[in-house]
Amino acid sequence: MISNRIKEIPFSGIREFFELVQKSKDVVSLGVGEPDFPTPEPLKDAGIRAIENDYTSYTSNYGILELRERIARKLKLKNGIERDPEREILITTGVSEALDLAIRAIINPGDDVLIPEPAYVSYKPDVWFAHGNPVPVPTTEENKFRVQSEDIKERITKKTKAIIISSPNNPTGAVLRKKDLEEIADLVIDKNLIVISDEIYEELIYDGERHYSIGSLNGMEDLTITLNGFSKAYAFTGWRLGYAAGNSEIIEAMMKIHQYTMLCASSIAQYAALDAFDLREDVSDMVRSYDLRRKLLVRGLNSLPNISCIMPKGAFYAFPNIRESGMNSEEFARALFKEVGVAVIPGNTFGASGEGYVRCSYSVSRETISEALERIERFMMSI
Amino acid sequence: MSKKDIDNEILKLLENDARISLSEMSTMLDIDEEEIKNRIDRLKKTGIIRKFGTSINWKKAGEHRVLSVIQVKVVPQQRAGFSKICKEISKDSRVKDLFVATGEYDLILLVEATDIDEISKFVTEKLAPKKDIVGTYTHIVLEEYKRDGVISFDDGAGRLKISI
Repeated sequence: MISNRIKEIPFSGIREFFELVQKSKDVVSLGVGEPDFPTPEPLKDAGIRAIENDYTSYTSNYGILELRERIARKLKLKNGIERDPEREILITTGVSEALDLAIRAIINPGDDVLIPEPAYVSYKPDVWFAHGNPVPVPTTEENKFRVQSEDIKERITKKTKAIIISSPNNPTGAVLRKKDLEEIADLVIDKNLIVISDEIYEELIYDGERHYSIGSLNGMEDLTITLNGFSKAYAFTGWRLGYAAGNSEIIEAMMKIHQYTMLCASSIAQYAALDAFDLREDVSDMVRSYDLRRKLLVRGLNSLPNISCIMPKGAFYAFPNIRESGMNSEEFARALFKEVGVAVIPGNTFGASGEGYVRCSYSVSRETISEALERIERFMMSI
Repeated sequence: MSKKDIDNEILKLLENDARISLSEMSTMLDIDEEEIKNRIDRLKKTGIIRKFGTSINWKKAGEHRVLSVIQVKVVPQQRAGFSKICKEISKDSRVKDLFVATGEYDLILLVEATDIDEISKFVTEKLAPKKDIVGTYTHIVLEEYKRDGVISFDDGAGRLKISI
């Protein structure tokens, strides 16, 4: 009944564990991957007004022009990327859709796509769906999980077509520095590759680090597809709204798939998001709040036996090393849940180089972090 | 960060949960515990922190209490304005909050009592006899949906426990 292609794609073995956690009543979960704030009131109100005023029809395949114009202005001011709102920005159903479109728009069967890992779980399957060949580029704790250009270079072959980078990174919280991006850009320009840059965690960045967009670097204008959205900065996950920006040829190709599959992103979400970029204060309050909880979680983890954790510079995840426990990531996550009722995500979910680590979200209340730390301590003492 | 900013960071943490420990605050704010303790003492002394209390759902605890919102119309007095009467009413331990507000009535009181009779006594024996008070309008609270910023119902809205 099922196509061979889809049958070949493995189900993650950890799925049933996740289902178990999902159903359990009494769990302290550090497994969440979305903001713990509600959508800011002005955006909620704008969404309600959109419904009341019948802004509930299909929109242009590209998305409503007014939102594209605001995205263009934001890209210019904040990211140093100049894009024509008419033809070089496509509004999508979350970054997830934009990612799939970007890959399908540029990948031929058999093309290699480099993926620095640990990485978000969709990258690899999306490449498979496009009949491409994902090539992991491992990153290491020693390098703060920032991908090294020599590790990329080593894996570039004639078949290499693209590289997917994400900074700040889910699950490691790593933030690429300008120098990292310049080195990647040199390789990309030299080998004529394309960068898909997932910047959804852009706003969540700490310790004075800065977010740079690789698409703003010289010579990268036409070689970068910049992906971003509203989910993480504006607590907008369930609305499903993202966008892609790149040269008109690529964006048009992505639009071609989008118009036949999604048609357009939710009109309600698009109208609700129009004023999102004005909410600077809400965003900075949220960032500050994550920052405090980040310190509490990471320093708390480091005070426990047989766990060590580097301080993540972005997103809302800590990625502690649990090798000293003598367990692998999955064993650790399962035992931690079974013994003390704390849920974390095994690091190997995000690629082989995540083995030996677990992802802990600090997008949870201060009380949850403290309770989780107490329980993890009890667990670590018992093994 | 300025001195005031640090104080406000401490206040925000305490506003959210007064039981947060000094060591947790120290970890989160990168300030040593001693300094945080001193700052909190000062904030308490200067009245910026009114008190450390607990928001309790007494109905769930099985204890009966009646909450009422009472609007009061007052004739302002020469020199004293509303201040004299407001201070007098504030002293009554049943008065939880007292505001001077715009609108048809001048004062808004939140009054908590053990039963309706006590509310009635408060209005008829405490407020009514005062010659400056020319009218009252009493609302008995029937249900609480949100109190002290905390919603008291579970409508199932919430996040998945696991999302990648």
